[in-house]
Amino acid sequence: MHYLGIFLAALAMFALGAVWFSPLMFVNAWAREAGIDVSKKPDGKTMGRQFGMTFVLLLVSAAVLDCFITNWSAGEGLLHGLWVGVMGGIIAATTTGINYVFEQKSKTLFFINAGYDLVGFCIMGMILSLL
Amino acid sequence: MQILAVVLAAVAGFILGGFWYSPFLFGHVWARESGTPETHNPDPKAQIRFSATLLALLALAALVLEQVLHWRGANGAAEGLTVGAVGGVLAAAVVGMDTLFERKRSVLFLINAGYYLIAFGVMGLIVGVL
Repeated sequence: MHYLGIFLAALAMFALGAVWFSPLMFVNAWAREAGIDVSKKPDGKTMGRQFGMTFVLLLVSAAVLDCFITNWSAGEGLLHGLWVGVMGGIIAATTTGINYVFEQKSKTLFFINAGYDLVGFCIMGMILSLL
Repeated sequence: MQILAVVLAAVAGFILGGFWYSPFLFGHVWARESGTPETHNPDPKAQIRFSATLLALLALAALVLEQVLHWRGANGAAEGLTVGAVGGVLAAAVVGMDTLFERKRSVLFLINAGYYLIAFGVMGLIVGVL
């Protein structure tokens, strides 16, 4: 296990999330499609819990990808890290896709969320392969 | 036979989902917590499309598990189950983030994450054995 790599990978995807789900990118489309009223901000404690839990879940994701990478026998380096990230991204996309088919959510919402997971996991995989 | 394993794994995940989200298990709680109306679309075409999409997505997930197992150079029930469960943990993390930001309750997270953990475990097992 690469503890430093896992921590940095989670941090990188957290930072990506801040940009991805900002007004500069997709937060407005996301809020519209998910039916969330972003003007009603949860209180500080709830927000803290939300972001704290998100970081923990990102650490878990990074640990899983690291597990895939260290078990990988067919290659090493940046490219194989990227490839592991793509695999993780596909798992995320299928999971999100299945949920959204059942919850009758829009394709736009699927692309915003699955896109974040795919890009984020690719960055994670590359960081993990370097550290 | 890899293709057969992937197809069988997808079918197993599909059947498990049928039970898991049925009214006998978590269907009602799931509908309430996710805010999905419990209406049935009677149109057979829509039903076929719905099932086909699910099967395709499950097959894609099985393909990833198959690929990770292949790279690991491993086979067999125990290895398959392990890789499947680890994939399920990743799915659970993704579901968790979605649940948090859509401000849904942890019950919904537990139902969905539980399904992926068990389904991917079973799928990994099938892919590992075949």
